[in-house]
Amino acid sequence: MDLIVPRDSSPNALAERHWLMRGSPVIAVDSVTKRYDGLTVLNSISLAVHEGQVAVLIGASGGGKSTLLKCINMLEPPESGKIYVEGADITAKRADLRQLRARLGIVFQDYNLFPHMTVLGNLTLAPIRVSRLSKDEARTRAEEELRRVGLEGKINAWPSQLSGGQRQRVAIARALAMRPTALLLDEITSALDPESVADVLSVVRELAAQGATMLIVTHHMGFAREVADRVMFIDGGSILEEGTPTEVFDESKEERTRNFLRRVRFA
Amino acid sequence: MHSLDSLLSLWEQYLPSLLLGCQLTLEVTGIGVAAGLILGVAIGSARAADVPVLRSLARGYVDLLRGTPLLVQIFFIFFALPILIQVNLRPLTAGTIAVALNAGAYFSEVVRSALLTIPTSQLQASQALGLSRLATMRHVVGPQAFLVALPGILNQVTISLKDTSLLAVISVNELTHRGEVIIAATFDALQIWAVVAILYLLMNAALTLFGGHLENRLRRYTA
Ligand SMILES: Nc1ncnc2c1ncn2[C@@H]1O[C@H](COP(=O)(O)OP(=O)(O)OP(=O)(O)O)[C@@H](O)[C@H]1O
Ligand SMILES: [Mg+2]
Repeated sequence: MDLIVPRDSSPNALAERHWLMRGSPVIAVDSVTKRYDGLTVLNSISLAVHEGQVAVLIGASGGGKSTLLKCINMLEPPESGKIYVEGADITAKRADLRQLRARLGIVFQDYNLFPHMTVLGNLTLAPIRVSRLSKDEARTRAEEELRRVGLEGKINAWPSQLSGGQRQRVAIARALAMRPTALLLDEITSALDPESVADVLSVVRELAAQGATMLIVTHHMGFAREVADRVMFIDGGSILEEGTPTEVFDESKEERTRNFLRRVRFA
Repeated sequence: MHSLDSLLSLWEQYLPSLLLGCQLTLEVTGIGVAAGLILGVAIGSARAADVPVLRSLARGYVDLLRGTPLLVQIFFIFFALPILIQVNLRPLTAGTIAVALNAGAYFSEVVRSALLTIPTSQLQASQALGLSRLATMRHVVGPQAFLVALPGILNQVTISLKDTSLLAVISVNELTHRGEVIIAATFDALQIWAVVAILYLLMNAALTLFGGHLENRLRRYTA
């Protein structure tokens, strides 16, 4: 399964994309609990992201959003619960973590580019070492992904020579170069100036339009409303409310959700 | 005091021998430092590892070698080891081993602290892409840590180079020992020790110059 699947926007196809009506999800989180020294950060959390779906996680700082994304690719193993990627149990003792991680692209708030490699080096490391592509194949793929994020001219640049927004777009391209089945984006714009935010968001918007499966953590509510198929409000380590953007943003049932939305709107 | 003539003839007579001493000094340093680096990377990684047993063993090694004088280590390997286990090492071999073991302890500290400066987020970014722990070490953490460790490594190399002069006590024919031998024949302590000192200075100056170049090259683009 590829990240980019053509998105059919006919009414039938839209109805079919509704997550309850789909087959097995790309990412399924089942009753996951995570503690840090006695502090319960994730409290029996469950969610599913289906093929072609854009799910957005919102919630207050410290609510466990980053922890959840790190659990999903086992950078932080959960205490209990199960996580499935394309049906394979990634929390199983004998799971092939490297294979499963390679299928999930993750992009972090502070880019985490490898500073000792050029943009090309950053984009080809995993395709060569993990997917066993030849240098030429990896380079072709790197060029393709850089074109997608509008940075084809920067292939030989060093991360230190790029602006924040450019670095973040390189980080997105690096994740895409592994041809993941889903992308996890963790507040990828919060370290950026407003202009760069627009550049990065437009890349994500484009990916959404092309049918990419994504789980996005963001503080941009306008953007969330625009790209999300589903919105989940995470509070105190569990998902307090979820639904379509309209359901969560305009018709929220929970007082806590409304309080949060009011606060971010005035922030 | 010497006349200029006698000074020149002294140089002519003894410089070749001292230069040969330099050659051996550089060889012992080269081999000792290379082996010490391998040891230092292994011990330093063990000290940063998540395995308590490995960590304590590595810690014990470092404490033992940093807590005892190199001279005693040289004597121990040359004189005591043959009693303990039935091996007779040549002075050169014993001395080089001592320099390597000693440098290894100091290198491991440099490596350990360099590893600690690499943020976990770099590790996570690499593992998230599907790279194994080993591949992450080799391609992501290692090269970055090396850059951080380089000044400390170069510093220890200059120290190890000077340390090789202690091998004179077990008659290894390196620079200092050759100086001693020449003085025993000429009684010209002032001139010969001055020349010996200048030769050490020149070797270390060349090393520092080379190290600076290497560092600048590697650091060109990394922030
Ligand atoms: N490695 C860690 N060790 C101990 N506590 C941690 C660790 N990582 C996160 N926490 C704690 O877990 C809680 C959730 O953190 P997390 O980073 O997941 O929140 P978040 O929702 O992503 O917040 P933000 O919006 O600020 O990014 C916080 O209270 C944080 O202090
Ligand atoms: Mg976070």
